[in-house]
Amino acid sequence: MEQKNNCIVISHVDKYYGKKQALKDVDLTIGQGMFGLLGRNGAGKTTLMKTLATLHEKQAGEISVCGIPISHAREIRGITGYLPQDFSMYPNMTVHECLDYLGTLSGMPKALRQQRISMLLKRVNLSGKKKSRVKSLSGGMKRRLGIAQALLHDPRVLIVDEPTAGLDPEERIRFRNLLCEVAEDRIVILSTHIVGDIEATCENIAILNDGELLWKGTVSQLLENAKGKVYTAEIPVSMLPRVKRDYIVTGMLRGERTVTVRFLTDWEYGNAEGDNLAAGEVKAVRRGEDNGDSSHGLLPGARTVMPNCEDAYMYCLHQHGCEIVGGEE
Amino acid sequence: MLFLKECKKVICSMTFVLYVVTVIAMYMTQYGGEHRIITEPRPETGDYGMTVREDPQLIMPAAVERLLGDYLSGSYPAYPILLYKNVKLKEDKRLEMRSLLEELTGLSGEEIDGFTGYRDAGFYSEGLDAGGNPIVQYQEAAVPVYSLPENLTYEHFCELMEQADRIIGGGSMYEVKSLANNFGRVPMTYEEALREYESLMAPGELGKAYLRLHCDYMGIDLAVMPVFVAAALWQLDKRARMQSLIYTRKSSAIKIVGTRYLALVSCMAVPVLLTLAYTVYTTCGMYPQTHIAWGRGLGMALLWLLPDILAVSALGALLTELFSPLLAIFLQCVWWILSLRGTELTGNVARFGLQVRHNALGRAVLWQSQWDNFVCNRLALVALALCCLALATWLYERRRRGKTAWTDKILYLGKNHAHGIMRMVDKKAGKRVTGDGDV
Ligand SMILES: Nc1ncnc2c1ncn2[C@@H]1O[C@H](COP(=O)(O)OP(=O)(O)OP(=O)(O)O)[C@@H](O)[C@H]1O
Ligand SMILES: [Mg+2]
Repeated sequence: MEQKNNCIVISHVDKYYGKKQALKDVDLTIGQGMFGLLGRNGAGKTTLMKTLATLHEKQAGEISVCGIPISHAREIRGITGYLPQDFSMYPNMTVHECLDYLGTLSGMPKALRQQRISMLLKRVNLSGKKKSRVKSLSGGMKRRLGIAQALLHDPRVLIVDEPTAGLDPEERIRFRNLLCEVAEDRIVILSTHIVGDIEATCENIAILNDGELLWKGTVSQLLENAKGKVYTAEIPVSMLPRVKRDYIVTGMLRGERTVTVRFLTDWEYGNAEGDNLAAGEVKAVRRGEDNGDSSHGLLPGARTVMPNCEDAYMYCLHQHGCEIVGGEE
Repeated sequence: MLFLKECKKVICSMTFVLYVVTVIAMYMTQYGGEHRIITEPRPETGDYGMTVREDPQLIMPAAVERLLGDYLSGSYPAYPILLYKNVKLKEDKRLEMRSLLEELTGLSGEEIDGFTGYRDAGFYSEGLDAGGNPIVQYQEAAVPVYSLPENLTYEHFCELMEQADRIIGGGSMYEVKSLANNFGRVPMTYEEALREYESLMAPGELGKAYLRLHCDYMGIDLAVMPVFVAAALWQLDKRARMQSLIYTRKSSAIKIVGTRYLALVSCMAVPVLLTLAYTVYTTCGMYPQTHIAWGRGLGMALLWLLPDILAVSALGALLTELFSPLLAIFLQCVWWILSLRGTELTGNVARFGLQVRHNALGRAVLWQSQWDNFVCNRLALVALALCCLALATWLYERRRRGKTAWTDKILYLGKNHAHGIMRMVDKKAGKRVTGDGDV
């Protein structure tokens, strides 16, 4: 029971936009710490987060946040900080005024507001912009201001929707660190397309696809899953189209006459370096129909490498039958 | 404090500046020029202004003559649903009207219809003068010669007028309640002028006289301008894309909407109060010898003007929450224009309506007779404001929780008008085909 009071329990949640089903029977438990939501555009990440932030009604299922059912919207709002994917603030107000306004709406007393605002502005590196009007901020600064407002009332649950989009690398790292600190005694849900952010911060992740929960687990499980499926090889430029057709290429580095490609495949190379010798079934990853080209899969000089999070994510999508649209045909 | 923050949002908006400018402009251009000092009427001047008298001997001939003229010209001016309309009667109605006129004039239907020399009252040019310029002269209406039946009582006359009004379709000049105003206008006698003067000299009445005129003009402005400020404030969150930041805060919809509304109304009341204060100041300057009791007059002014602000901004907020700011402004403007046209300048305060007019300095006796209607009218507006506010709060909470209101669907349908209707038609056609198949 005590555990239930410290986590978000989502069970069998359906959500429709008119006829379109945006969440399909989502079942998830999110505990303390950082939780990453991954998924392609339109997967339903924002929809799930908005539902948790009481901005949407689900059509079926149960959600409770720290033991409070989601229908008690007021209580939920009191303990939740939300950074929307797309937002702005009153353009003619100053940064400080906006935060002060939102703090008032959260019912914070004046002294506390002042104290937290200056502390948070320092943490998101906006102290110098305290008196600037919101309309004069750059995109990244606005996003940082958004982070500050989400943390303003010291929420137990923090929901941030693509918070790092548009931040420069320095600010991104700064922000990741901030989130990790915040997550020490809180639930933080983060959605992102930048898999590197997840790798650096999250313990647990979930992958959504087309409204369905595709995968959930820890980052190391995800990596483990893709182990031995990631290769690099140096190939002549002329072979590139074929490789792109046959494998999921996750990276390439062009040299003078050759290309170093990084790719995923279920094929297990008998002749590749490493210890994965022919194990049972042999299957090649092929996109498009099989055209009887028997030479596929056998790339000379390919060797396994340790998967990174991005590889693992792609592999996971592929493994669950999601069609991955690769490079140009 | 949330209230002060909302006030700041209101005051910093362009629409509020526009509002203040129109309030001041209305005051300066309309009321500002008015500086007549009310003096005791003196018998030797012989001119004491006009008054309305409910005198059958006055009203009956004038009304019948007008009705006869309208009949002969074939069109009856009316405000059926507040909107001005020149009513033309169908044949059966025309005959009904003719038999009414037969009774009223003692003429036969043939005699009335056979009259050819009809002419409306107005200015006509009659030949040329020596310099070759047309001579323009006012002419009375030319109607057949008739006389009212001698035994016609005023009660029966009113019944006949009621019938005439019904035939025209309502809202005509012959409505019994506006008979006196339309046909009973006469110059005041000295005695009446003196009575009017004395009633104005009663305690508090002098101040009231000026405040009434003040409110009459200000009411025109306040019956429409607050909608701009309200719609802008209610749209601000959406325009700034700040909605979800505010929606996810702890404060209840009642607190957010209520505080906003209170701030809106308070800010808009300030310039109104200032102009009232200025009227008090200038009026005191006009009567340096007289002690004017302002209390009841100011109470009346607030009861007159505040409900305008309350109702127009609440309705504007609701319509903005419900549909869009443009629609809110549009609808309010329509209501305003209709009520401007449909409200008599003086006297006859409607029990329900957007505006109260009393476009006269003085006429205290007439005003007193309308007092109950005035109070009813203003309280109705306050009630309307409260209803709108309650509804707007409810809608706010719904929208906040993503329960898209049915209005969204209407708007959506509206946007995809052609498409939506085509699909509906298709569906219906499809159903009918299968239905026929079953048979
Ligand atoms: N208001 C809406 N009305 C109708 N459909 C919607 C609405 N909002 C989202 N959708 C649909 O629901 C699905 C999920 O959308 P959602 O915004 O949750 O995706 P997402 O995972 O956040 O995508 P992204 O990575 O691009 O932000 C999409 O197919 C989208 O088209
Ligand atoms: Mg999204």
